[in-house]
Amino acid sequence: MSFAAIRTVGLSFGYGKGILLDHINMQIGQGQIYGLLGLNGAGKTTLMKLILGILSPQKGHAELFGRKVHPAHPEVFSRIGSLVSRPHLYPHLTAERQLQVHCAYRGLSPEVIPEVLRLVGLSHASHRLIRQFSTGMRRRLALAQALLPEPDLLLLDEPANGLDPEGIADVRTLLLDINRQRGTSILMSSHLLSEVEQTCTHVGILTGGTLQFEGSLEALRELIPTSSLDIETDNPDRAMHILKQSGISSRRLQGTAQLRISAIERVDIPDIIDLLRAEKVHLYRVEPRTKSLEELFFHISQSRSV
Amino acid sequence: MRRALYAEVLKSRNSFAVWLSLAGTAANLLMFFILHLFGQESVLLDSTPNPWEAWILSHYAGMAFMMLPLYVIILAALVHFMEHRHDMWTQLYALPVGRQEYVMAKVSYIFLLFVTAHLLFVTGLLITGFIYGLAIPDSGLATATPPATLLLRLAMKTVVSVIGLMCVQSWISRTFPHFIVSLLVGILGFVCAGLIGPEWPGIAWIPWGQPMVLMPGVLGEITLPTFGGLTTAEWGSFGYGVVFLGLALFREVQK
Repeated sequence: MSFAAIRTVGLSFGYGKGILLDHINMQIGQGQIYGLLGLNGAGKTTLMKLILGILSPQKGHAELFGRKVHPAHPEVFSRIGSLVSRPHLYPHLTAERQLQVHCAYRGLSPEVIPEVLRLVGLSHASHRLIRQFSTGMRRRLALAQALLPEPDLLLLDEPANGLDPEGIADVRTLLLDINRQRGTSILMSSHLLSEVEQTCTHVGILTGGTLQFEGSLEALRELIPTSSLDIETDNPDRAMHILKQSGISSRRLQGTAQLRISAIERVDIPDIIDLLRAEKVHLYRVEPRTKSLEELFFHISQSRSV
Repeated sequence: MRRALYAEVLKSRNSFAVWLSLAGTAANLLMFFILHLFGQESVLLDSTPNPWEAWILSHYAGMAFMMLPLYVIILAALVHFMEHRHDMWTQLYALPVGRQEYVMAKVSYIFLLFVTAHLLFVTGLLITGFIYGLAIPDSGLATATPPATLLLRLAMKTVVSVIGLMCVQSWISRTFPHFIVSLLVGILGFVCAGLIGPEWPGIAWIPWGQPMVLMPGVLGEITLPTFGGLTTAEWGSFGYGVVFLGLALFREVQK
């Protein structure tokens, strides 16, 4: 029987009387790359801490590979690598020694260290003190730490924070490779929605303490099917007029011969093309635009919080 | 627990705790050597049949009253602050290691560091004694044989006397994440015990006072009741050790 990599059942948590997370039911299948989205303070880091048992939930529980998370059973973490909130490193140690410490805790051979340092691009800095590392290097080292046990599951809180564009692309490629080659499940939170869009297969949207959406990116797009259509034509003003007469509003994109029709259903596209062609309007390009994750995220988080 | 203890040892490189143990021990030995060479301490060497006895007793007397409790207080705070400072517990709790193993590993590491520093102290006092004997041949230190039994007895008593304090300070340092708080609580206890003085009968039951009564007891300046070969202060040290180690372990279960 194949268990979900992560499952939370009615997970609730709050500080004092305030509720930060309310009844979170989340499921991340094996092999999925799951992006956890939410505004600042939505509870993404807290949710990760609850999943890892660092914090104790007020209600509900979390399961990792079918096993309930409990401090008395830390064995389940031997299959899990994590980077939660910020890199947790000893500044007085070298990068290599830092990883040796983690190998010791995990009972791993230190022979794996050169390989993980190579994977994160820190081979050249293995003997440097961590206190001399830049923010990006620290994050790469923390990622190396998470990769040490060749994990079946990675929990990464803002893995691209503090990285330059090259570093962000490197991390993206690395995560995709690990997922493809080893089937590693990944739960990552990120403010960079474009990164989530390029990396994740599934997303969860956390707003107002509840999980407002969970599913694949395709399912999210289907949930809000309206998109827009860009049309490049020889006579945009005439095309706008024709569309207006048929009750279709459009706007001209500034400085171009293009029109944009917003809030359109996919099935309406052939009718619009037929209408313009019948009026002898030359169409050079017709491009349906699907909503970006950013648009979808704001649509969901705003509509559900109203 | 073995893996967690090994990790503690790996972490110790370049750490303040190790530097404190090495530099603190060396500074102590240098201070005592200078005091003997230029101060009134040299007179003491004639007070025992074997000059090594006086040499060893004067070193232990100076070290046990002042340095021993302070060293343990700072050591426990430093070892725990290594984790508090960068919120390392967040990372440690997501590893396949039981939380109680961290407690045991920390206390064991502090104990290990203390024993190592103490071995250095013993080795150092023998070396400085021999050098003193060469510098001042009349002292007889270069020709006499150091009394191994006395040295062993004092070393054992020293270690036993700090077990309670070690566990109390470890519990305080684990409970309060601020370095200053654990240091202040420890220093407050140490100052109170010092002000009360080793003559007060109840001092044996104060963890900060237990190392302080070690040498007055050995030198016969105070009389402590003895049960089964151990003084009440030594039993008290074991008692505090068991209770506060238990509290620390229980705290991790409760979380």
